Amino acid sequence: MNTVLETSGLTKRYGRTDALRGCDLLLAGGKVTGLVGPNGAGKTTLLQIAVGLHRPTAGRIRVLGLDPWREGVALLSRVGFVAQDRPLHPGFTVAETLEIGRRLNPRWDHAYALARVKHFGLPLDRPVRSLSTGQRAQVALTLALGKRPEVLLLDEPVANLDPVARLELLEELMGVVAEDGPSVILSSNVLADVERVCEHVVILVDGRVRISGDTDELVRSHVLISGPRRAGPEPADGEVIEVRHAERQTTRLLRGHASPSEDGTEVRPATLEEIVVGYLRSEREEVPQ
Amino acid sequence: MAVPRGQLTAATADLTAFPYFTSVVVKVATIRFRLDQASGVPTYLQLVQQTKHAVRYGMLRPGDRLPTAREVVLDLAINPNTVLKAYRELEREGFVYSRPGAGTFVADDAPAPLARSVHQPLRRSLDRWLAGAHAAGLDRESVVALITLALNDAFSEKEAARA
Amino acid sequence: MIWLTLREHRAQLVAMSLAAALIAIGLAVLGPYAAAQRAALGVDTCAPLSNTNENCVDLMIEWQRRIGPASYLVLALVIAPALAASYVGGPLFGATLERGTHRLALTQAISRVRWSATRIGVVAVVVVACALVLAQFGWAVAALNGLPGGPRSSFDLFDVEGPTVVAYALSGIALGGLIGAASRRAVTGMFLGLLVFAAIRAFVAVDLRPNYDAPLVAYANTTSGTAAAPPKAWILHQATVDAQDRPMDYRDVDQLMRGFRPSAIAGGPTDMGAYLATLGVRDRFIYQPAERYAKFQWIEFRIFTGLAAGCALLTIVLIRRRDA
Repeated sequence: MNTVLETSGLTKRYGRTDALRGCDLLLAGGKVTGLVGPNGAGKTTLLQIAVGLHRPTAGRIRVLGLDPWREGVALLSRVGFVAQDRPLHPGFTVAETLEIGRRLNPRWDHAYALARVKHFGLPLDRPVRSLSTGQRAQVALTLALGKRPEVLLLDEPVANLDPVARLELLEELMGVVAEDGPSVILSSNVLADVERVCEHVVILVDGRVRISGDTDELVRSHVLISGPRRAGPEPADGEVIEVRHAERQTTRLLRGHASPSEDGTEVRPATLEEIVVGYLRSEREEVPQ
Repeated sequence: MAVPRGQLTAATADLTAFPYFTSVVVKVATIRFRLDQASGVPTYLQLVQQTKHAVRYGMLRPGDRLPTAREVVLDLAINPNTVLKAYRELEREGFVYSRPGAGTFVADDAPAPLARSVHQPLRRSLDRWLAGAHAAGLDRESVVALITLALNDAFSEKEAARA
Repeated sequence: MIWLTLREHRAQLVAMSLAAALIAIGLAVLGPYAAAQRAALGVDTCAPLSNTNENCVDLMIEWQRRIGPASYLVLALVIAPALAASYVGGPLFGATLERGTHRLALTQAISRVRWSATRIGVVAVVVVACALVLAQFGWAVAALNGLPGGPRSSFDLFDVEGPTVVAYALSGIALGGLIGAASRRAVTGMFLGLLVFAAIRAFVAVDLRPNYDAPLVAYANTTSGTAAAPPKAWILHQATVDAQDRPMDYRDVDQLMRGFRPSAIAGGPTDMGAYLATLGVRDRFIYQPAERYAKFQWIEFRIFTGLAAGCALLTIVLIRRRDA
């Protein structure tokens, strides 16, 4: 298995805030991985460290085996990144924006970038400030794709996009994955998108990795048990992630197996959304992978 | 994009009816998949089911080329590995075969489409049963629950027998 | 990266070059015009009437009216480096850091050192070119200031001609750039850059420049006036001093002067200055001689070039070590 990203005890402190606290992560290449977590969980920080924009306070990180802070130039010729606010120079035309990529990257497929832009009907001589948000997102993505990267790091790529633009961007992204096979690590809070597009999910809460696993495996290994409220623990085989009590009913998210019982306790596979929300809401320590 | 569960839009090679089917090669992609995120059925399984359905009801014929993973994801924004997984499953079950560089095609010896002579009597006995259930006072949800229970029992026995 | 710097700062660089060109053209045209007008009016050859020089003053006023607001060109030349510091230097890093677009460049395959050094280098080249052009017009400034045959002191044009102009411009930009980079804000870079640059310039001109070399001292009789001063020298300090080299109050001098008439009648010196000299009272000039002008210019050039280099280096180090 080739590793695209690995961290060990990765910590980042800004002033008095700990954005990341000792993250341990191992992500395999060739997959689309989703970083999920509440705002402020550390998703953006992790991506910015991975791409060499920020320096870790402690711990270790390697992307494609390279140290992003020290070997940034070598790494960034193989990694494409789009920041959350998709920064672009407002006065530059689309053509000039692509020119940035052409001049600052050793490997750059200009014909490919132009073809993509043309495919979306974006006129080359229009200033970026006159484009819609969706169009700007496509330009920013094209700038990252023009170097034909092995890895794509995308910070909330579909945030603030209208539903049509959102879908188009995801379709484009998946098309690129199908064609060139880059590893993709994207952060998102839209679980529906994560579910349809990501093979691997990392749940980040409060600067720590709560769990990291293949989507299929996560869904297979978690069940939701709901039954009448009672005092003692459930007879179940596994680890309780989260418990929620209503007036007369208790719902538990369990990592493991359980069977229904006669008193009306139901067991069913948890959806990815229920799993993510369960981890997000619970207060437990990091779950070993 | 609300989609009825499990429904399929398929087209024959009649390009004029479905002008939005395009293909890089001369052969025409003949099935367009739909995704129902709310159904709880894994995506790859939906693709498998839709393909099997099309083959069984003659909408896909032996030799027809299935859309490439790229064509599917450009349409559906799902992970291309999901498509490949579905196609592998279909290949395992004998519905399709893949030729590297050319694509994935419906197998010649795929389970034959259900003949009308086979599924029409089945359909008629089902209608009769439903009438009986309705007369007995079962509402729609109860009917569905009953059928689901029977289905699960029947097919889990089949799985056990196969394994 | 050169292309990106030029494209990103196109507006500022064009504006700066245009402004420099306009000032240069203005000076080149209006300098000779002012000199010609002055000669035509005969301002400098004016002979004052019996007990008033009102007629000469009138000529002066007429001359100033004729050259009009051309004298503002001189002002423009003086403040040009400070404005460049503000307008070009402040946003050099401040603007891109503020808007976040630096993350666009820094996630292409380019090192931070190359990114920051190229920006500074490209802008520096343009600035130096503009400054070199503007530094040639000391003669025009002299004409506009109405100084026939050149300035009183060769040091009068210290701030507006020669290599120092280039150094001022470079250091202004570098200072603005550093403050903009440190604060991550264009406006802070512009405002503080201007302030700090002006303060440094004032400090150097007033406190350091007079002492680049030990000043010289000369004495002359009190009646000689400024004619006795070393020619074209930069007078730092002038006072009447007594025999012990102590500055004297004018009242004390008046007191001593009471003895002039009796002394003259008794056969003593008939010149007031000569009389005071016998009592040890003379004018003392502390000055920098004209011959040192070039040397001083190069010293100040090195100071500001050093400042520029230091700020530039600091900026590059800051960008390299800090979170983007």
